[in-house]
Amino acid sequence: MPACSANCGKNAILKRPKTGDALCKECFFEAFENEIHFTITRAKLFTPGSTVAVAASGGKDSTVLAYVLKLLNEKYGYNLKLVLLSIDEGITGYRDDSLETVKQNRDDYEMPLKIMSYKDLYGWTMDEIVAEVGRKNNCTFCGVFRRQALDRGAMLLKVNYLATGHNADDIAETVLMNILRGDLARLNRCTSIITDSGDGIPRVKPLKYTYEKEIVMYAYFRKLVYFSTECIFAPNAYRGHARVLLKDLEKVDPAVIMNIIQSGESLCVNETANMPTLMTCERCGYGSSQKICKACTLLEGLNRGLPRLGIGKSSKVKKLIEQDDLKRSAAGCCKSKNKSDCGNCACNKNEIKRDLSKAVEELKI
Amino acid sequence: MSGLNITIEFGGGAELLFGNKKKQEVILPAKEGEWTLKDLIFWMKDNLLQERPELFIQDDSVRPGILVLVNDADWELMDTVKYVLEAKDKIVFISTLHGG
Amino acid sequence: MCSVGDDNLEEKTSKYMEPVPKFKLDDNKCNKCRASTPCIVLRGKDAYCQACFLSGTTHKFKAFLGKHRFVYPNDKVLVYHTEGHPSTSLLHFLRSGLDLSTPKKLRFEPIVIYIEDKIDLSSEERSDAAEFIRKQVEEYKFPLHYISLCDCVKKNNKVAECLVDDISKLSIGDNDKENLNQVLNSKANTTNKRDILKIYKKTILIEAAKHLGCKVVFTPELGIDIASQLLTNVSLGRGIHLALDVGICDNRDEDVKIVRPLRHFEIKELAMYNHFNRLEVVAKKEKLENIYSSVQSLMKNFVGGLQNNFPATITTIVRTGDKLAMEKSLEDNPRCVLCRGPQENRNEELTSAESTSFSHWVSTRSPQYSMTPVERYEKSLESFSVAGDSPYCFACERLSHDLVVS
Repeated sequence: MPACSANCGKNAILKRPKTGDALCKECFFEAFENEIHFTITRAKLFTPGSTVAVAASGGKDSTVLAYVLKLLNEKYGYNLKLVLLSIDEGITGYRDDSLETVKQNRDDYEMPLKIMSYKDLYGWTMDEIVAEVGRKNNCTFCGVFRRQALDRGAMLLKVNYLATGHNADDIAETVLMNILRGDLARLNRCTSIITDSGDGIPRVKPLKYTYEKEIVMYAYFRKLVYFSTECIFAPNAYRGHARVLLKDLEKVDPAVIMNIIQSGESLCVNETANMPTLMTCERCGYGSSQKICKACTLLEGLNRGLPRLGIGKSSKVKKLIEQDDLKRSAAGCCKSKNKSDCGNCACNKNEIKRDLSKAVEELKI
Repeated sequence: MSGLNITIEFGGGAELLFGNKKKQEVILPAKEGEWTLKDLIFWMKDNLLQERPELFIQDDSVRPGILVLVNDADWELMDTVKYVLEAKDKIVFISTLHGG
Repeated sequence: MCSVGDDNLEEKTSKYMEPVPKFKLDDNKCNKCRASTPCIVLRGKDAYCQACFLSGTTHKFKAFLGKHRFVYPNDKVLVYHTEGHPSTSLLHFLRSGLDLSTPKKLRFEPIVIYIEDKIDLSSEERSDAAEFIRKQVEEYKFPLHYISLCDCVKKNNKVAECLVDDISKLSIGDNDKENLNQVLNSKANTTNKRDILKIYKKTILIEAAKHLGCKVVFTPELGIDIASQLLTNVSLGRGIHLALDVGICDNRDEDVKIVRPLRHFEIKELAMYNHFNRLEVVAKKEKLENIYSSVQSLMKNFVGGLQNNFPATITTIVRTGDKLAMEKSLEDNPRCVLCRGPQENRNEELTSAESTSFSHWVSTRSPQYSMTPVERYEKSLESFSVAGDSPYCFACERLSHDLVVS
């Protein structure tokens, strides 16, 4: 066994893919944690005294993130208030177990936990959505809803920051994927360590420069509990190809991950290139490149019994809604999906059951 | 039943695998059923190919990067490996390897 | 954890990659003239007859020159020539363009250069290859210059001394490999070696162009080369120079531009163009390489593989490259001594480069257990300083360890 590169005299227990240095357990812990501390302080991620919601899924990234943030908060006196934020999509079997893990994190790390469910926020669980739309486009719903759920949860908790567990591998993969897709707008933004979702709560990635392999090793040696979960993987095939490519590249040279991030940070998009502008959704105020955000569009579809609304071209959405409106007023029916809710059927155009903005109002603390 | 006579030509470096002969007239032996391009490719591997079959054949076809023309037309226009050979057909194999 | 939705995909959530179904010939008519029988299918969907294909191909080449106006009448253009189909097509495009008697004829003066760099072959094979090239270029009636890569590198890139116009003066030595090892670490990994040699060749082309009075250099990269080079360069940390390395034009030198006029072509098009024009192509001996031997080979294999099932892959990546630009704030930065591109800004923001340096730093400091952990960190930070004034850019800095400095 080679000696620890830090020359502490002990035997190394792992070779860091990031730098090739061999470290013993204690030096690895210290290096791993100090690098995240360096990232946080050097990039000025948090102002002292802030409240930070840690996006917690029960997986390795969020478990390690919560653990290390708590550790560093105490060690270096960040003076942050940390809270775990978890999303319950309402997928029987999948989410139950990971939520148990998050609850354990809450107990082990002594952090408050807030669980937001799709049911609370949107009025539909994933199980109900799948029953309505089938298995083909369900991932579209889940993805859009989850992203907004985290942002909305953060807003409702009135935190100053939302910290997510995106690691170096994730970011490198996203850079490659955006090149393959030709998505310049995202390519330009995806290496930012702080991003604004458009409604004021910045998202922060303290693990941006941390390798996934090292996260796994850290969790293993620190004996942290996490839930290894495989949701049926998204049909976004570009990400699948980018993932395979990244794994292959690592075989050739593990330093590639940091190089890709460096490239993503330093590339520059031509100003004249066509990029979408960010607006706010008319219904719920969320940042969107359309007048009505994707979540509101998808919800509208679910509530009207038009499960394909919002899947595919957004230009068709307006037309489909108009068609449906005509159909309903012709039938003398209000917009409620369930006849039983319809009641008197005096068509009140604004009475959409479980309107998102209403849900938000109800949930305000 | 006599054999099938066809002309085979090579270009772009493919000839290097076949003894550097750019053009060959061949008579395919009589057999049961028809000669498809796939049959030809495998016959060439067994009878004409001088080296490194992996540079010519992959799975059940030619290696990607080798263009095939049948009477000066792209074989993609006629079902690739399933094309049935006729007498006096000219089949051209062009290697498109290029350096990077 | 499931990563769907991470990107705030609003428009494109349903953009699944469907493999393109195999080509089916609908009506046996050329897409363009709708009259003749097609003889070629491109991109798995467009069928053309021979006449339309040939005229379309020539037109595409001319359109590129016309659109970008890099070359003016009577300019001299240095044409980098190699074996294979693309270079052959390029010579033919140029010769036929110059020989036109219509007003549309090309009006500049191509000068061809061949860089002899095949150190892995025997001297005999190398001489034969050079001779094939000589014969080929002679048929097109262009002046041809030769330069030996090894010779040039040995003489510290003094191109003027090594450039010859007579094949008998081209230096091909059995010791070339050893000679190269005196400048380039023989134990360097293949990725780095290829990257360094590529940079050297570019430098040679620019210096040769200056020496021969050319303002523009044409290089024969195809779409697949551009796409795999883009991904390669991203993987090597060369994001800052992408616009130069894989864009339409590399103008890092103030006198000489490098232009890639075949960037929208695919190999099949040019191989067929050469076949229909009965052009002799100088063949290259093929070696099947292990795709994991270098980042470059991995990327070439990846792009080629993806393109087979998804024919929009290469054009999408190339177009992404087209939309990248050099950041204005870099213009006045000192130039990297290796690749001659402007160096990165050393500014306030934390970068991956700095983070990696810090990681390595922190992994190699001896811990002093007499101090508290916080003190230890403070001490590490104090003595850590980002590499001060390096003469290299980020990516070349990593390569510099493989350059033997005499």
